[in-house]
Amino acid sequence: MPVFHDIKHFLRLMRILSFLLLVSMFCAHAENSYSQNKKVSINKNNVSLEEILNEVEKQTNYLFIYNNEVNLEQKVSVKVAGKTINTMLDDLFSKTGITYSMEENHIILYRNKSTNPGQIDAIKKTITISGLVLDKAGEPIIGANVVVKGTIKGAVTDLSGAFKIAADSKAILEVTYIGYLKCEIPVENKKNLKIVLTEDSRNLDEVVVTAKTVDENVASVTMGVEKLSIGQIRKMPSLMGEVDIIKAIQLLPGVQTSGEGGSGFSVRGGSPDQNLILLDNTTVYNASHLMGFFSVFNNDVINDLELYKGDLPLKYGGRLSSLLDIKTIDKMPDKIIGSGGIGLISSRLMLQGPIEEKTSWLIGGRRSYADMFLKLSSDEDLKDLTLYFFDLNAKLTHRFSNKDILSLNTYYGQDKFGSDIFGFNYGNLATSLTWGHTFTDKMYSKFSLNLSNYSYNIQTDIDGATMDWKSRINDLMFRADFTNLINENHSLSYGLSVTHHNFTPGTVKTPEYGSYNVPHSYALESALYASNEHKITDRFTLKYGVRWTLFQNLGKATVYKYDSNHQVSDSTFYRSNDIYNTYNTIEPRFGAVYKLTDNSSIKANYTHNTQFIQLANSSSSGSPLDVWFLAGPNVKPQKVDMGSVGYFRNLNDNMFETSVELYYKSLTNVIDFADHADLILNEHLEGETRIGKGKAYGAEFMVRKNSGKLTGFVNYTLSRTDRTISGINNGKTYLSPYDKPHTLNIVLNYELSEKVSLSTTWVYSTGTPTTYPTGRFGVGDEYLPIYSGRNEFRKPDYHRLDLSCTYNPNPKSTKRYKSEWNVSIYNAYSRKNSYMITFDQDDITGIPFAESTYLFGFVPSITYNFKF
Amino acid sequence: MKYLILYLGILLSLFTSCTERIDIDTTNSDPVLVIYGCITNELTYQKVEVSRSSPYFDDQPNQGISGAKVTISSSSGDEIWQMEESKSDKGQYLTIQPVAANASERYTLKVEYDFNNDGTTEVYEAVTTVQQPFEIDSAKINSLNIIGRHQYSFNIYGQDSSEKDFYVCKFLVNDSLVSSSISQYILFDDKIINGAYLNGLMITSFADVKEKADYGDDIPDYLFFVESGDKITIEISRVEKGYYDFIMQCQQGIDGENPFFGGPPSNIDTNITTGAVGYFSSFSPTKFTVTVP
Repeated sequence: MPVFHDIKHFLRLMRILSFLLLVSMFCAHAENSYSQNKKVSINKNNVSLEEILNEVEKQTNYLFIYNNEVNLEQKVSVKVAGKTINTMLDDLFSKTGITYSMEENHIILYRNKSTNPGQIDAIKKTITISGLVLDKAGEPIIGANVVVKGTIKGAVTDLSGAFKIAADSKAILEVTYIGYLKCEIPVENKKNLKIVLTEDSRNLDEVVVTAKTVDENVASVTMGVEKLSIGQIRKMPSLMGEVDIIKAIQLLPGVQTSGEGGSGFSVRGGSPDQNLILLDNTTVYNASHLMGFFSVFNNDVINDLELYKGDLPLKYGGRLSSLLDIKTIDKMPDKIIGSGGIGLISSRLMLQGPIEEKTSWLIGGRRSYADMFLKLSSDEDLKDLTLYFFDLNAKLTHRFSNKDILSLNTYYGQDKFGSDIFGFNYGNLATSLTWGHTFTDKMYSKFSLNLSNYSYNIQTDIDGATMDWKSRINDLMFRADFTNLINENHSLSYGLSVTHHNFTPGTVKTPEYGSYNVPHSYALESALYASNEHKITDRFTLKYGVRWTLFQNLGKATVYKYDSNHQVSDSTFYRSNDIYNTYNTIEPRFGAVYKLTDNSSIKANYTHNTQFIQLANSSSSGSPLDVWFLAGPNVKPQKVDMGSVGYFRNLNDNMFETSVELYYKSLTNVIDFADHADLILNEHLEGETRIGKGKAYGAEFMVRKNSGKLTGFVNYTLSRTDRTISGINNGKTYLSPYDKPHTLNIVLNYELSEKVSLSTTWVYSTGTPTTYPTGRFGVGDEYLPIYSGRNEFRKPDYHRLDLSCTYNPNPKSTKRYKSEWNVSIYNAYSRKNSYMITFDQDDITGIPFAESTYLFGFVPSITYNFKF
Repeated sequence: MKYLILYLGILLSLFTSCTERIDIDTTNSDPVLVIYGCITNELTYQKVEVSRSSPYFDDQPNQGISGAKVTISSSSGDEIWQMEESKSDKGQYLTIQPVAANASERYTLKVEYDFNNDGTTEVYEAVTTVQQPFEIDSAKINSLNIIGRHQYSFNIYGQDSSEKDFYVCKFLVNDSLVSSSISQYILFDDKIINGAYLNGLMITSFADVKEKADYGDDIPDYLFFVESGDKITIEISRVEKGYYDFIMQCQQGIDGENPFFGGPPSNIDTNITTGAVGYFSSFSPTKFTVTVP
């Protein structure tokens, strides 16, 4: 990052903020200058050395680093006024058997060996090593990984780049961090180490596939998780110039699309409503624009994402299949910076900057152009049409002290489609207010208040057909999360969350006929969780925990009873806030990782999850008109038991990451809908549900290359899933629409030169299960279909090649403004992948034939991206 | 609802999309007996069609069935209509003379035929109750501009009953029936307007003949063209919920899947016993004619 070398404090501040939300409990000092000539004044008698050090820290913003051999309990007296640090420390420590050295804003204390002549250093004994990890400019590297080679014991550097780790005196420490070359340093019985990492020759943005640590593939105890950084996503070829987060995750193993171009996705055979999508910890209900062709996430605002495919972190629940955790940029710049892009379909801009020293803000926006679409049509009459979407992100972060940080995040977006007599708009609002508090260096907490809102509105203004149709979901959530590092073998995480759901499925108002309402439904979904990551030995780590969820349906509500024919037989009315139904579930989780060798491990995991809200949608592709509904007396919560096992191996010194994961899911209370279900504006929606069971199983193979000129990944997924529900398909087992036996994704990026990088994606998947007619009956001159079963056939297989080229005209520029061009071709060999298959009758013979509609042939696009 | 689908269809067509014929492989289900009849309260030769189903892509038209014994009788027992197969149209059974069904009367259709050729004649039955006609006070035609296209809307005035009502409308242009196929019927129910007076409720719209060229080659079946001076006649009837659902399912299912609306395709309901498909119901239309301004 050549431009940032000039702004050394920017780098520090950026890392500080990005690290605050991670699990590490050291105080932050974000001052801009360090001088050994800073003066102190202290007047204390017979107090512990530790107290003096704290006083110095308060007065000077230095941070002391020491291991437990340094005796801080010894009593000392200090009386200085306006003395420089050096002078004061020289005086102080000379009597205490401590020596020190200063590195930027750190003062490292060592026990003076000469004062303990009796000490014998055993050839191999366990010592606690304290160290600092810095870059060549002397800046601390926050979040670097320090691992004792050959074990899974590790530590992560804190906000000052410091770490503490226990190792034997003959051990070798491996220090790694994204964008830097790995460093191996022998301990050699040294208790204090200063490690300097060298930047990897390529830009941070160009590191293609990043993992939290270089060998996290092998060492992490979480399995079924995929991580992508925005740098990686940006390099992928795009559809119409919009590289999209959701499209990027659809390339990961175990993830299926829900249709060409669509934004819904299915994880390990689950339906799209089983994915919890979080933007900075706030739920986003409908993550797509324009009927699903683009997601609501603006690339310039996003920092990275993690997709958990089965082993969801215990702090989150309520969805059976996955968690997509998307985080926006978390930096504290010291001046205004920004980035953006101009594309064929939409443009975006992001700005961020500071307000004085403790506050920072971010604003990002994106808007599409209606004109583009209208130009594709030759029809001039369409110029009255409104067709656009926009996204707005805003963040404000304030650091009260090194222990407290408050941030306000907001996302607001809308799709608008209409003309003078018709309008259709929908969108999300996701807001959160979060307070992060550090209790001690071992305990950190986060409290937040989140609001999620999704709503849509259809209006018509035609004489005789005027109406206003609205639907809305409102969630208000409070959560408190605590992380506690008990010791180096136990890391505890616990907390609670309470969510109030307020669903308004549909209200239609007409001027002539009053209003028609599908009544509101309300519920409280609360959870308590606790989990522990337990290092049993150097090679074996166990993770276990439990989540207890309470779901309560609240009035006011009219609850219907349905008879065996699913017809309404009775109804009961409950008043406001009456609790008329309760479900409570216990969701345990176990995980284990056993490191077989330095670079291979096996992992296993079991989880039990429950889902209380679901989408009333029976089509294979989502629509923005879909309505979410709650579990209740007539709808039991859906549940899944999932087990997975995997083998992970890194090759060539972590250049290649490979993995095989096998999973099996057993689903209970799976919901599907009756044939010809009426899901629109239906207050007896529950009568259309049919419940049964399902299963999903599969295998995911992945090979990733993380370094070198050629980077990328290849993955193959085998995935089967079916349902057995009485009342559907005559009670016989049928394939779920997400059953895809074979999927192959190849994503490659090649750095041709400093200016040019090429990227290609090739995807293949077996055709979606579908229902074709097997007979026909005639009424008049029309033929109507007869079916013999559900999803007995498959659509044609899907495959597609995308290419892209990114050109940076001036990669070595030290100017503040930087730009690059990206040219993409979507569907390079113009495969006519079927979007929908419909039937029609020949005009002359009347005989039926099938037609395939495909959306995209060969689609080129060009985008201009910039940052400053 | 239909307009929403129309607008979304336009949206979809704005993408660089294309449709072409493909060959797909399906299996062939066993043939079943198909019966369709809709009796009316108008004096006419009432008709019932009896035919055989075919494999979906069969290149021969479906065969009408001869030799079935078809009768319709009223619940009070005093009306029994014997039906005879038409000489010219195989499988079409007509009453021997013109008859009319009575509103609020229940009629039972009975078709006897040995479909599976096993020597015993199966009996297929269905029942319909003729609904009370809807009283249409008046209607009017408005000129509209929908996304740059000029259209004429057809609006009606009349009183909806306090019961759950299901309406089916057919249209004639200059006395000639344009909505002759099931997929061209216009349907609406009174979920939102229950019990109210329909005050100029828009039923459908017609395209302008002058703009016909703008629509290109692929004109949807449900779009009809009119011009100033044409007479548009509505035939509106209340129908039974079962028949309303049947027509709705035919309209939604005839084209196959729809990715945005509707679930996975499934068999269309029937009210006919013994494993036949099709429907038997009744229609009691009221007519009203308006001239296009």
